[in-house]
Amino acid sequence: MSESVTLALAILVLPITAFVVQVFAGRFLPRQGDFIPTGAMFVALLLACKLFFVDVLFGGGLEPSSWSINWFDLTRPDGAGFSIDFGIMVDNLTAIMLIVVTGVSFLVYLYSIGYMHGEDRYNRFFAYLSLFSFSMLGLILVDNLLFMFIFWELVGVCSYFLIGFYFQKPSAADAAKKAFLTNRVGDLGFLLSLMIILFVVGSLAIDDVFESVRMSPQTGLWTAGLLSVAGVLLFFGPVGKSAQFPLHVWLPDAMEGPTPVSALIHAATMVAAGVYLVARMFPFFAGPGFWDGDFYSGTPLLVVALVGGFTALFAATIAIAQDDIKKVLAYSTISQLGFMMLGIGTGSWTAGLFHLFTHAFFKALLFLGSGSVIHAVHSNDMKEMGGLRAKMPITFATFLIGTLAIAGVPFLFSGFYSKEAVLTQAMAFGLFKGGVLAWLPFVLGTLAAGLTAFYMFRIIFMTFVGEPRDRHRFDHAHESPLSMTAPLMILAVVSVVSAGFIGLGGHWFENRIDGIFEPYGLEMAVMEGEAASHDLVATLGALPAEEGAHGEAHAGAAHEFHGAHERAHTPTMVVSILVALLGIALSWVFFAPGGPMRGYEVKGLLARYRTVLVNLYYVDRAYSKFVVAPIMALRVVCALFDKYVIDGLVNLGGWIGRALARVAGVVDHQGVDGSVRGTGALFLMGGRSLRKVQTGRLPDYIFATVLLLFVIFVGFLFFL
Amino acid sequence: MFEIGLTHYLVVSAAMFTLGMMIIVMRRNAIAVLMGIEFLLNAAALNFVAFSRYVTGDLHGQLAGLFVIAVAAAEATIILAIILNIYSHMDSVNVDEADLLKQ
Repeated sequence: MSESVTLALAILVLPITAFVVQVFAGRFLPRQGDFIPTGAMFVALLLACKLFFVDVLFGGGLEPSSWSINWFDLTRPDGAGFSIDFGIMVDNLTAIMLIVVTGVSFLVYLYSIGYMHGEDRYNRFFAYLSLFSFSMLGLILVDNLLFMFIFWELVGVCSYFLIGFYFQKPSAADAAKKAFLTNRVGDLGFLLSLMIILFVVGSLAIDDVFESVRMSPQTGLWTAGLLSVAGVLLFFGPVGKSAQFPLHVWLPDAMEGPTPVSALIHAATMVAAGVYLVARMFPFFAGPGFWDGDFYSGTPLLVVALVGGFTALFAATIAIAQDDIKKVLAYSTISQLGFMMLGIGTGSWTAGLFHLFTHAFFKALLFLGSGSVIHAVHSNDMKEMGGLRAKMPITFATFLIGTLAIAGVPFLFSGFYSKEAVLTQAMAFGLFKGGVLAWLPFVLGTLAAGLTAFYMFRIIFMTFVGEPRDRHRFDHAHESPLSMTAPLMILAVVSVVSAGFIGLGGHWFENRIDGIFEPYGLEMAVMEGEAASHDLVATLGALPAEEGAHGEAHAGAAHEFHGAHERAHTPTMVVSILVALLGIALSWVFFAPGGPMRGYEVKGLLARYRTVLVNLYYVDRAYSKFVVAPIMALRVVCALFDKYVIDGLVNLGGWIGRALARVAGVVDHQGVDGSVRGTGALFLMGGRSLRKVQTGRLPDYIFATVLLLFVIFVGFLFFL
Repeated sequence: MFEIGLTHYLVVSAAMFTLGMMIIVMRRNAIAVLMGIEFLLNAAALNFVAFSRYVTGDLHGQLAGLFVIAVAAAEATIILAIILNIYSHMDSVNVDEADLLKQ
């Protein structure tokens, strides 16, 4: 077991230990035990920091290493069946995800100490948080799809607990159910995909799956169609978990949970699990061409890109019209997740993960900042805020940094770099493939990027700037305690620096993440598009000639794509800066105090569109009408069926039983009891009649005796 | 006239026995019943004596007759004592009323 694996195991074990202690002993401890999960997470964070800073960042990257133990073995002596190992794998991606999860977790725990102070079930809240962190860390660390699914579901159930933390509120209870059920829809696809993979490959270990895809041109194990179906089904899981259209409906409702939960689970980490899965399984989505450097032609990838792009734009437009500050951030999260999917779908897991990484910090910052605001004014409604800059300077400053980061304001903020990486990839995709469908992701992404700046500055203008709209709430507002502002400040710093650590250049992330699939046989040279034909021939030397030529064509494509990427770089940067600034400017025009078109959004055509947005494009309503209502109708039908058919059968059975019982009763009553009673009656009657003989009078006895003697005498006389 | 023989004795004895038996069965008075029992005993004693005189010729039968008379005397005293008790208990010597055996 290598050192990194040991550290990773320790990071995994700490939160579950804290959970067990907290759930059983938490309420007997001082401060209801909040220091146990927080302390455990701090230690985990230190360990993750060791992995991240020492090994990944300044050590030039981790050697991928893994460790596994057999969980159960279902192989028969003849080799059929399969066995499942529990294994963990540590590489650069794992280390980066570990620092994201432990870092955000720790800060959120710290923040919760202030935010949840005095709440009911305070101890249980920390227990849930700890369980969640454990599940998320497990999801990141495991090297087996089955365990990934298990942790995936664990994460889902923790989300359910935490959304429904205020379960006495019906809306929270409903939101928890909605989140859980919506995720189930996606997870069904995930599970089906796992079944297909298990059936085809006979193993769910990620490296086995990759190996089977890689060798499928020779072995014929995967047909292109089956691979696409499995890939698209696998993507269903991320669509649910990462709230992509059309399963995005649960995430905004999930804001019913406490704000730290929204920050930790529904912004920074859990929803990123879907993106992580797609990135981790990228070669599976890309198909066998992946190993020849073709990252762009897998059907599932195009689905990922289009769903991601559409979601990014779709959610960004809805975010414009929301008045609940957390709802805006929720739709913003959906939009940004779409961005990540877009980056991965257009062929760069690096871009998608980069955005995941930066987004985790600034979105956590934004959520915690909004929590600070909500904590101060006791309202989620931005229409009741305004002018809070003066009252809450730290919150304002940090929130502004988060906003600038998510809006993609150039050069200083991390969001700019990651967003630009995604858009560059999307544009290169368009340049490379050509055609409307290929350009669509870039167009959608660019529009979404502009809208992001637009709606984020709307929050700033409505919340922190201008005159207070609600004087009473404003007067009571106050800056939050240090346990809440400290995480904000830390996250603000990270939001700035996370894209480019000093001394490492802007490309540190690419350098660490591009190579994560090398252990599965991907040549970096192919990746870079520099695969000279002789390298490739050497690699594929054993293959038939046409296969080699095929590979060469792909290598050529990789090279060409690399060129497209180079060409896309500058235009994208210009475009993304422009749309960001345009978005901010438009936001100023519409929402800033003194903006020239203030209040115009509720007039004319804009108002009509706004109505559509306020109604969330009627998606939720459509679900109610076309999914929930038919199910409810079906429920009635089922109830009637149950009542009349099933119950009828049961009642018929009961009736037959009763009739039989009645017959048996009669037989018993008349026959059996009758014979018993008859016997009794016989003896009674005999006794009664014989009793009369016993008169008790001596003469009668004597007479009887004499009579008998006489009879005996006569008998002797005549018959003997 | 004719000579009195065993048969005559037996006839008298049988008549006495029958008479005593009828008295026992038919009379209600306990004293009368006691008298009926005396008839039976005496009929039996008469038989002993008659058989002793005409059949065996020794005195065993005579002795048995005396023994019967002695037993009858003892028995009569006991029965009279019982009757006295019954009388003191229920103010009557009617055997029909003394049906406590039924209970």
